Amino acid sequence: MNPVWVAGLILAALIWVSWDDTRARPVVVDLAAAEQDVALRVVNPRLRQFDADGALKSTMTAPEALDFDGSRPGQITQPALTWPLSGWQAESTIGETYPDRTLLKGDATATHAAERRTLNADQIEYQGDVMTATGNAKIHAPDFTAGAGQVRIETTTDTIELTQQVTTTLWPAR
Amino acid sequence: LPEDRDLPITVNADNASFDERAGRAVYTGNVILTQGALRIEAARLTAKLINGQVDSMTATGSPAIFADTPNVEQGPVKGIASTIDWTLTDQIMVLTGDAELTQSTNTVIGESVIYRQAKGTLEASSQGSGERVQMTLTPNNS
Repeated sequence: MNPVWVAGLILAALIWVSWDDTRARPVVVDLAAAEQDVALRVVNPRLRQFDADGALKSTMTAPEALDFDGSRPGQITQPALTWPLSGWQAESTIGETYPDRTLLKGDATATHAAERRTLNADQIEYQGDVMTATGNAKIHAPDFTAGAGQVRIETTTDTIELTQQVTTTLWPAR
Repeated sequence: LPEDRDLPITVNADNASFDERAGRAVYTGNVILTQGALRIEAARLTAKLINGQVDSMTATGSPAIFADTPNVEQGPVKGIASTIDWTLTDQIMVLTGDAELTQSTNTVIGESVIYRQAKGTLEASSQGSGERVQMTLTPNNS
């Protein structure tokens, strides 16, 4: 076979291979816009975190979780979280996870069943042992109800700080 | 008014903190308390809770101000003092520090003035401060 023909065939093959680089890049054509940079999608995830002593700190479940490999925070749909040590539970429409905190956004609700307390707000952030609710924050407890721009609960010491136009209702001793 | 005593107490402020275990709530900044006809304005208010209910309160300000209507016949009572200590169970308010209490046209000034909500009565004392109690009573000309 004429060497010139062989060289031409090899050259054409190389051009064809470099042209068709779909193998080098995943197919993104049919992915929804929101999923363009999804690195990982997990269905029905159940995430458990433990402290240094091995005690269960928190458990999070959700219908779906998306990870964007750092290009933006991980996104969880309808997250439900429980913190057994403090007795608090929380849920919201959307959750965002960061290395040091969890952000619950959209009709965020936190409840403490044992102490019959409920916290509602546009957003609740949980960092360490502190829960901070911002945006129309309302707390209902057996001994008071309150509304404020921000409600901050230190879950280990049971202290509650309210700031920004605080309105509370208390009950008189009879 | 007498029936106000069982009403919920509303407290507005810039900031508030609740220490559930200590049974204490502290309000600071533009504190306004209302319970029916009763109104207290102060810079700071501390409430002591027992079994989730408010047992007593201390309001401080420059001055702290309060107004109440013990009953329709006696009309409104107004008071100012550096400190107002209110014991809800006993329905007694003790005003201390440049205390002044006015009920219709009668005024009582002293280092300490006691206001008994249930009866709508006032008592004043100098508490050994050396200052005399001053009372201005207007004769009823009816």
